[in-house]
Amino acid sequence: MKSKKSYLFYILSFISLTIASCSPPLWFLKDQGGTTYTDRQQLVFTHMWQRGNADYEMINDMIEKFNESEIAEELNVYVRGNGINFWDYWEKVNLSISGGNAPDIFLHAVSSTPLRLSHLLDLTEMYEDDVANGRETLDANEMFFESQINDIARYDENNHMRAWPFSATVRAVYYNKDLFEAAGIEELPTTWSEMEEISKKLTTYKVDGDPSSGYEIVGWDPFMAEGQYIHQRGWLSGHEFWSYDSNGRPVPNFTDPEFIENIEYLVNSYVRKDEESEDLLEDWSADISQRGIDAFVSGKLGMVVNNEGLYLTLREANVDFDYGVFLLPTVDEDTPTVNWSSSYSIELYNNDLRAGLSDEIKEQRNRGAWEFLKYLYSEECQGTIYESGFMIANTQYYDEYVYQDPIFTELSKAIESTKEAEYIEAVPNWTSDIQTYVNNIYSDKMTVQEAMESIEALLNDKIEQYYFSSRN
Amino acid sequence: MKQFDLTEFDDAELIEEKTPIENESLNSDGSMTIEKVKKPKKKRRITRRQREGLIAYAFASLWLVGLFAFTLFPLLLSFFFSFTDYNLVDAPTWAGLSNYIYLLTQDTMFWKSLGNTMFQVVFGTIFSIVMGILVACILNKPIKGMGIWRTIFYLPNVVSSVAMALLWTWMFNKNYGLINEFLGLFGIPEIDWLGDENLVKISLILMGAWGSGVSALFFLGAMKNIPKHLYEAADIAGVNKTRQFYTITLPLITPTIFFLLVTSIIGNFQYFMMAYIMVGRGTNYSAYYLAYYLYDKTFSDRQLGYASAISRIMFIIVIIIVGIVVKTSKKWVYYLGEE
Repeated sequence: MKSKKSYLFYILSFISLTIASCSPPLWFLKDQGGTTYTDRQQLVFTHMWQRGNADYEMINDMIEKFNESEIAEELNVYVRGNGINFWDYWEKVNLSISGGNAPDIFLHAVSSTPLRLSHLLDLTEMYEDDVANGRETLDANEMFFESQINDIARYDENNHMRAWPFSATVRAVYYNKDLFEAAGIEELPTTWSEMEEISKKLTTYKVDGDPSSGYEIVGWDPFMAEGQYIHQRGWLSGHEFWSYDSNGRPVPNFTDPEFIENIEYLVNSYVRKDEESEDLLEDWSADISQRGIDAFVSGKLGMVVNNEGLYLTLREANVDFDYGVFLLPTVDEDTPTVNWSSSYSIELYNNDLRAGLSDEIKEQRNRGAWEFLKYLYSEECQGTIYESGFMIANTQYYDEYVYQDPIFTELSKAIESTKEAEYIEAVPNWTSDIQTYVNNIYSDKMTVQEAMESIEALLNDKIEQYYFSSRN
Repeated sequence: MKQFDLTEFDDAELIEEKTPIENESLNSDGSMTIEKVKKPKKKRRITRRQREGLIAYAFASLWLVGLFAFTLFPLLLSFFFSFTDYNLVDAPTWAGLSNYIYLLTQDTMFWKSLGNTMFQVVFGTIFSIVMGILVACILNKPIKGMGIWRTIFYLPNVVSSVAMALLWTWMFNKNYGLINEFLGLFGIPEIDWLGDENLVKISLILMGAWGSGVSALFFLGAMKNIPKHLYEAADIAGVNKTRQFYTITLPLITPTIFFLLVTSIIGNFQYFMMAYIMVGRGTNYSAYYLAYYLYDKTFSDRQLGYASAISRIMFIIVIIIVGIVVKTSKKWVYYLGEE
């Protein structure tokens, strides 16, 4: 009898442990989205406002308001927020999708997504359904910049939208007005030659012989901040990196002579007074980055290329110098400006693909996700998202938010010229893959020609490997 | 019932007594009635040994479930995926041997990363073992306060690997690193430890010296187990300390060397985290190890099938190398008390 009791104890312990480890604790669920509505269909909204993030509570409140709304009650759904750290975000989202556990609503990026369009809910169909049934709805064509729709909307073969732009990320040149005035620069440059002219006026020098006092102004450094993204530099000069052969296979183009000439110009246009100044500048840059200080925020850098994130940093640092932004200069007056976007999209997973759900539940979840999406583009939510530092994508509220801020107003002018890095299935992370060789240019280990040839060889190898198997 | 005439067997001796399966009864007329008896059911008893075995399995069952669920099953699944094209989103499609064929015949990056890994395996393993023995020799000295020294030498191993990687990234920094600052005192110019493609792997191996506390601990334990009378006899015979090390210490710690050799080879084949955090792929992919390549193929290029093929090849290579080490161990590993 004693040994039977022991066996029973072991078996029960094992079963309890297994069940306990498989069930998420309720406190976790509550922390991620407020109240749990156990009688409603749960929709998961995956985003980047992680717990501990300053805006986490703000986003949670926003989600909770939707859960308490009439429409959520009518559809019997509730949304649970799932915040993931930016650095882990893409891997975790992609893995959850591959594990058959895709979130219902999620932020994404065109260049990072492996999803087929069929995996995503047809937003045009949802809009048309609203119109047919007399429901209040949102027309994407009235909300977003055309450039953003073209880049981000992800159209299918029926020209239906499968994603909406969520934010508007643009690059511009931040400049220190005080230093520009001290250098006698009156007009802002619009072309590369004008840029070179003003950068000659912005020279490095040691203040009072004391290296710790920093450097007054620095010229046009293409590799500071966003400069290392070579594809942005290429687009600025009118270059296209990808074409397709007769079989539909992507062909990389990094060795176009004109493109290389333009990049060499950018590399060589970094104005250095002399070798001593170059060393001192390098020391200064390393010193302030080691202390966690952004070069431009320190007030010692004349100008730098960056996105709206730098503006957030400048506001939080409450800097004591005057600054502004101007659009990225182009090669010449005839070349149109292009701006690398890297904006986020927002996508809804097509619940018709989820196994084990009835058609009714699938319909309920799709409608619920669609209603939540519309809610995210309401004025209240757009205001919340704007406060958290994103440049919102819904232009209907630009007067209330974006245009109230002079810096954002300038930055918004760049949205019309935005361009996303192409998603190439064979090399989905080509913009990161090429960075190793771009860094070689920066550290003088390779010439531009050598680096671009190596990049082309690398990408061609990857494409060949991708198509070698029975896939195509 | 059968009837037999047994009168002729009256003088027969009973030569064998068995458990009766039949009941025999002598009838009055001299005949015998034989009645089959039902066999009594044997009561099955679990022996004590069997009971102990069952308890052991019950205790181990949780671990076994984990082994099957998180090791063996993924291993088998990965083997299957290696014959497919699988992008983590769509269902895998059969690709046959194409992943392996391309990998072994045309993938230059595979061979480059394998070369980097083999460098790490060979020199990293040798370095860690040599450093472990050296540190153990130092810690084996009968010096006052040796306990504190042993703690100090082991402390780096309790530091998080990521923190260690970030710390060493700064130590190796070309402009501000402590190492270059120290070398600068002797007039040695700045060395680009992590940026120079010829130096980056060596730098990562040298960094391993900081973590030699674990292997030193193993060797120290082995050295403590060497009978002191061997050294006393050597002293009496006039053998110097260095020779004592080569003729007594080293042979008798070969079992520990063997163990650390095998674990170090396996560990170095999986070398990834330090390179990923400190240098990325390195200049011209000089720090691009096989595990890093596998990681990129999975999470960056989203080709789990191809990555699985890489992992299978890696597995085979490790098995072969470890197999050679094990096979040859009979010639150089000495166990105390063995003839």
